[in-house]
Amino acid sequence: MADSTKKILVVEDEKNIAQAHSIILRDYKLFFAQDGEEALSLAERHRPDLIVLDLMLPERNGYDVCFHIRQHPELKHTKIVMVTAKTLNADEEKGVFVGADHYIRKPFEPDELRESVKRLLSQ
Amino acid sequence: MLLENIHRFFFFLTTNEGTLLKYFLELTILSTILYMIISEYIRSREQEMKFLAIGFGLLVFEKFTVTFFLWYHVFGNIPIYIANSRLPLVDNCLEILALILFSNAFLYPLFRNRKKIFYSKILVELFVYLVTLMSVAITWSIILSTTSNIVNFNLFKGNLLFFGLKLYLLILPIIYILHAKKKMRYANGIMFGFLLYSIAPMISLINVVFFRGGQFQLYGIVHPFPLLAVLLFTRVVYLKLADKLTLQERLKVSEKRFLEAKEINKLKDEFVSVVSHELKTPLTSIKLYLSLLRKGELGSVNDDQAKAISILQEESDRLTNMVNDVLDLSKLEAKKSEIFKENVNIIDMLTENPHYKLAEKKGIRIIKHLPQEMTVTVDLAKFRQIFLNLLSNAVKHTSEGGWIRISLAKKEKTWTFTVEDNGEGIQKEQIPLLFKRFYQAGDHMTRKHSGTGLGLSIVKELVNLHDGRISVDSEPGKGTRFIIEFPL
Repeated sequence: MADSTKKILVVEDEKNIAQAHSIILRDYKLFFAQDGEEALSLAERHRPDLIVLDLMLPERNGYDVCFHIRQHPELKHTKIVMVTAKTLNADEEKGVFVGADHYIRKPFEPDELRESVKRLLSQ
Repeated sequence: MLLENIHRFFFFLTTNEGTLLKYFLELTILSTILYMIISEYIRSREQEMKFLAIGFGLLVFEKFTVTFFLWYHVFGNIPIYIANSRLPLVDNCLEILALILFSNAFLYPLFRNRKKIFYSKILVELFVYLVTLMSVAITWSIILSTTSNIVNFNLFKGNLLFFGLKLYLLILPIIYILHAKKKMRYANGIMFGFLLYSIAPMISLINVVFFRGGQFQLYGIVHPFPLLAVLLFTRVVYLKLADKLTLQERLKVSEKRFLEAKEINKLKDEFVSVVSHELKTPLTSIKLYLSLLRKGELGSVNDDQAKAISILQEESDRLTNMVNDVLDLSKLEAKKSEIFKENVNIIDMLTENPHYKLAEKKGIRIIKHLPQEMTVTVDLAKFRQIFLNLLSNAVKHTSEGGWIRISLAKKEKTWTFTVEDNGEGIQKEQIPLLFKRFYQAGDHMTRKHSGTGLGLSIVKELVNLHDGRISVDSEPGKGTRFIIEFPL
């Protein structure tokens, strides 16, 4: 069973997809950010257990956000699931390199996200 | 009348004024080339130009010195007959030194990879030059000390050595160039120049040996040849420089084209990246909500609704696959795909059940002719893509109750992967078109199969990335066989 006390920050600039996230991950306590800056300030304020991070974001891209979170002394242990429409292998490698825990390609199935979130949070 | 005039002209050339005129002309022409060569050397800093500059520089120095003294003799009211003065001696000394450097400057391209030999050749020639100079000086002092008469320098045996050395220095380059004619540009022009130049010492030599230097007509006839040779060399040097300029122009043009192509490629990449994002974002939304609907997470659905949703899902899957195909191909074409080969057992991947779902759904039997284990060096992700493309292709073209056979075989230097079906087959004339982009067997207006028609071109690109070969065997109504051969 999903743990409803866990906090998840969803960083997604597409409202419809963010809405879908809210349905898929409705068992958790969710926060939403629409760009990289907002993501970082929300992360600092709410200290989420996991971040679902879209790569193509206005202002700061997902790599940048991921990198900053990994540098942050109190946030660096936050789990990060990267979601992207890019398909190059190099992108995936870069994502892992900057410290993402899991990598999901768009388009994806709800269960795919749900499973990986569940797995990462139970670790 | 004409003959007499020619005779007079050559006699004029032997006088101080005639010689001055000839040297003055040579000086003008040579200075012009020297200027061209030096400015080219300053620009390009090329060794060849450096040697040409030194060689021509010495020639110019020689002409200048002689012109200066002749000027002094002609306009300074000092009645010295040039042929009887020491000027030819000084002239010869300088000219030979200039010749050593200048003939070698032209030979430089032939010695580009053998610089040591080149420099030692110059050193040996300089040594011979010094020996000649010394022996001339010794004979000269002996003659001066034994006779009180005005020494006739044309009879003077030292000149014999000078002319001989000149001849040697002028004929040697011709032999060198004849041997390596193909390596050199403008070889004919340069050879002809040396040949013309060598006529001068040859005539002088004949004059000294056979006429004891007494034939003044011969003395005059000598003069035009070095001038003509210099004109020829000017042409060669000019062509060399002009050639370099055109080459530079061409280089600039191709550089520009290269940059343009790079720019276009970059635009294409950006376009692909943007399209991938823009197309996939709505697709992601559509697929997510369809899944949520189907699973009843947004409220219960009845059977008809569920059927409608699954049709929507299938279609959105198809759209996703098409988008992925287009992106794959553009990446492959942009050579952005890198290949990560590893030693893997490919049997595991080929026996994964999810791959065969579509075939089972259509009632097609899958026959696997696979060994227990087979380890090959391959990019597994790309091989999977090849396999899935061929499989879905086979499923598409095989009707219910048919079969698809997948087999692997190892040979001495290659391994082959075969996907065979007993489907509708391909017309013979359509086989060569199979791997063309957006091509689908059959008429476009009546096509009964979905897809972008990119699958096989992607397979071909992926096989090429592995240095493999793909071939097709097909008979209409009986089936098709795709055989891929990979190097081991």
